[in-house]
Amino acid sequence: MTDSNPGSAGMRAEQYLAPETIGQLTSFEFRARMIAEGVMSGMHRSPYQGLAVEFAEHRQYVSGDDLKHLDWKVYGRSDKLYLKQYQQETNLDVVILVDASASMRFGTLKVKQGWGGTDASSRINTWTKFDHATAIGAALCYLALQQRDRVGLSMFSDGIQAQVKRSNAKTTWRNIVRTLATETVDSTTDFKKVVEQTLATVSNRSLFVIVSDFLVPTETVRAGLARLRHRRHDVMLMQVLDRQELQFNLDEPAPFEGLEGEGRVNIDPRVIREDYLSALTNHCNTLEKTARSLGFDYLRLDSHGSVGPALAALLGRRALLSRGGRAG
Amino acid sequence: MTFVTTSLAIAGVIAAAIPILIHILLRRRRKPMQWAAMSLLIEAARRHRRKARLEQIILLTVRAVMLILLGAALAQPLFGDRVGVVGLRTTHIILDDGIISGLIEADGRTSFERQVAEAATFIDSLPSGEQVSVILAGAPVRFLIESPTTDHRSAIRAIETLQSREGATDLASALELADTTLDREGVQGVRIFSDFRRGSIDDRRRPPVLHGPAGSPIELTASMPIDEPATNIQVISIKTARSPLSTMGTGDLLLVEVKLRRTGLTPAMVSNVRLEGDAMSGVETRKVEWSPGRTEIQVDFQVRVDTDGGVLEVVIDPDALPLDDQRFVMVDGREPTRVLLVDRDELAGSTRLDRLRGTDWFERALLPFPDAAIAEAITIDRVDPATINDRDLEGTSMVVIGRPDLLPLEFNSTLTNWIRRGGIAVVLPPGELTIRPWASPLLEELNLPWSVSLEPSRVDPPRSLSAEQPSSALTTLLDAELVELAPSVRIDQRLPVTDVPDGDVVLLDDQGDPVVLDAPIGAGRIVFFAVNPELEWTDLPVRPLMVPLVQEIVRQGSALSKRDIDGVVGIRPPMVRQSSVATVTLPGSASQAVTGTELQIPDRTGVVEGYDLGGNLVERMVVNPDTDGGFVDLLAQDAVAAWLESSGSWQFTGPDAVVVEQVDERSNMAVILIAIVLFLAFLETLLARWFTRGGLRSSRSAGLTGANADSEQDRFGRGAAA
Repeated sequence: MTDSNPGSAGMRAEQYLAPETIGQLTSFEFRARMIAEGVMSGMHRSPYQGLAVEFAEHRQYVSGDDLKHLDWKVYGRSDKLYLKQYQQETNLDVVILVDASASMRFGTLKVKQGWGGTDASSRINTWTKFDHATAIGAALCYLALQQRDRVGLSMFSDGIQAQVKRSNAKTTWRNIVRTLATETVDSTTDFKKVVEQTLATVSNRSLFVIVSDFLVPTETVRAGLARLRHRRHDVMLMQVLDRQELQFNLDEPAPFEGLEGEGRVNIDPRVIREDYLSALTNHCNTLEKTARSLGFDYLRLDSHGSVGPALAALLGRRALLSRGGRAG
Repeated sequence: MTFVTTSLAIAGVIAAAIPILIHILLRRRRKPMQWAAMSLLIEAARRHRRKARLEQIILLTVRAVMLILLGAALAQPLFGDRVGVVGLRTTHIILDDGIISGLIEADGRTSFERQVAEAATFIDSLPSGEQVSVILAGAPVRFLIESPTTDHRSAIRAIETLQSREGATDLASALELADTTLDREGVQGVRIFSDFRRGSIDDRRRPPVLHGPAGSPIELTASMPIDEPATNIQVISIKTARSPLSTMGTGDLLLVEVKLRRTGLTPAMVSNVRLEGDAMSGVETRKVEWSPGRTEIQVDFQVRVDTDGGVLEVVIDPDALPLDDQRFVMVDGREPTRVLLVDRDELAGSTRLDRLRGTDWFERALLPFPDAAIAEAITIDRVDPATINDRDLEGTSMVVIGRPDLLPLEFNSTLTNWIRRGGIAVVLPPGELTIRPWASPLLEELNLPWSVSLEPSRVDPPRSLSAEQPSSALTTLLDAELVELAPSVRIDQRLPVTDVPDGDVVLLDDQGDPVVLDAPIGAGRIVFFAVNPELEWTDLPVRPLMVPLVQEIVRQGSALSKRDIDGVVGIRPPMVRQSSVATVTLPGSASQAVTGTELQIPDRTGVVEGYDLGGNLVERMVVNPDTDGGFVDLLAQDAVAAWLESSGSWQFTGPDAVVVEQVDERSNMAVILIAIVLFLAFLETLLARWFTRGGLRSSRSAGLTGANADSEQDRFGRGAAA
């Protein structure tokens, strides 16, 4: 899926990046490619305005190309029309960490049967946080590989469950796709341990993109991030939460059961909604402050929404790093 | 606090458990929901737990209180000083079974039968555990059920066996009797079942103030006064008297004077009056015409009684109230009237007029003519006052005591008892030779207020009898002649008597001092001559007035003395005159022994038979109905309420009223409780809404969003699979 023409009839850019659309693709590869192409085509507005990518090479102008990228110097010298093509001069090591703990199995967005996602979600016709996280992970990996970055992938819960070593070889993408196809495990998240295990395998400075719901004590996140900061790595936190978790618009009292063995508690959602949202807001704000205080980036994503912002955020971060700047 | 319907109050408490059960059951059946952000949820729940528990408790409490109050409202609570333990509630029923209750109504039932049916329905409607007692208001008033009972069935059976009685209704006494039992634990109430016709209420007596336990008020309820007019004719009296001696022919004629009374409606109508009995042969009838508005009629009969005497009965046509349509009277046989002269015998007989004593002149006046027929009518005996005893009084109709100062002192009580049983004693003052002060002891024994001087006094100048004499029952037939005969009587000596009530004077002198006195003593009479009929005192013995005066004293005295020997239901028992009577059988009662001269007050009309120790019938007496209780005139509710108000505040109810309607304004608590329940229901709704919406916040938080929050166009375009 390479058509990046913004004028494509019947298909708007956001539709490419919506879970309902992505979910139609059973293949991670196609899915990731569609996402990446959609973002690269500029259809999704990047939150990072003024992004610049370095000039890499020329190609001959064909009718319909954007004259904005025309190299006028070459035209002046040769009287021929050539377009500039850009690429990053600096290659990054990008490590994608995707949370595969039990809490990521949660989802409330119903999708049509057979729309894909993971095997688990296709059985329950629900787009889960894990589906969203793996879609983001796949797209990020694809995008990074397109930029000729070295990409690694880890699936984690209470430790690293599955891993693809950093590489930009041709086999890397397939390894990534295979790894992403793993299912969630019935265990909790031990963030600190995951960071330790990851640091043991990464020595040079890298960009860590952690895709998780981060429903863990913020102290453990701070400790892990601090370790990464100490080793001079860069981090992007992408917190994926289900819309129901974000808004808590439930009406019926019911016994609520934790996915990671937290037990059961009888709750009337209408009664404790404000208290829950207050706790959630505090948690998320703490996470964001923690990340930003360490110079890292934080992005909160709704699993019912588009995956585009996640990729745009990566691109923006990559651009800042390549200019030698630091975020914040 | 007690309840009209306790079971509803208990049901309310049980129903309060329903919301709790629902809460428990609903909790169990909800499907568990899996949640990822459990730690946040637990933290929020922990924050809210205390508040939530309190909110649940508040809501459950409000709901439970609502149900309890609803049950209490339906059960109608009673508050106030009368607060008592549930079950300790007593209703004292007063049934009007007096003669007026015998009124027959259009449906053929008597008024009493209808009242009994209403009372039975009322008792049957009482909650189990509520006690009842029953008082019968017909005289003599008595308890039917004195000790309050919760056995309603037995109480109903007891009242259903009752019948109307012939005594007058005495509601005042019935309420006095009820008052003796009101000082019990628990709520007390009095309920009167009566038609409240005029015969049910005695204006001369007021009901007592009723006191409940510890002075608390009593629930007072009465039947609504009836508004069905009726007419009733009564035989109210029968008076008999022997014919005056001057008119006696062969045989013995008895004058019978019957009085009839009509109450209620008084249209023109005709009554038939029938005189019969075993004292006469055959039947005498009279037809009486009642003109509109007339309320009393006298019917006279003159009949020849049998030798042995017996019972005469007057009967009229049966009407709406048949219980007072007949009346009895005992008449003596044709035996002579025995007169006993109590005086000293003079050994040397004397016919000198100036030496005749008062008793001698009495004897001559009693037998003025040497006529065999008169001799058959009156026999005269003499006895010395020093030797007189009670046997001498047996069979004697009248004693004339010439020397009361010679009577033994202990004879005064014998004489008094004899008088009380119907004897007539004529007392003549002794002359100057008074042996002892005789008047005071005798008057004290007779309980008379007269003050009699010890010695006579000469009157100078002589007096005469006054031309105008007071009206006296003894001289009824002489009233017309007294104007002419009295002033010619000269009085030279008199025994001063003072402190004489006006009604006791028979003859006065021209100075207004009493000459002859008369007073009823029990069934008998005492006639006292303040002027001894001796020539030394007065010329009365030789005046034309002497004979008719003495004979009227005998005739009318006998008639008057028999008047009160008859019994009246609810008022007085019949007088036992014969001292040999050992047992009597009252109408409707078993045989009873006679102790003294007083029998128990009868509650049925009829003939009373007295037997001696050998079982021989020695005396017959009669008991008649109390016709004063037979006034069928209607009374307004206001009049009845005014009469009852001295005992408390009464509520009048119709025949369909049952226990619930007896409850007074205190039951309005139910309305207040229901209002409170409605308010609580509204409050519960508000609270439930408030608690679930997180209080009074005007807007609800939208929650968090992600950086990839959808635009409106995206949501429209995606066409979500969900």
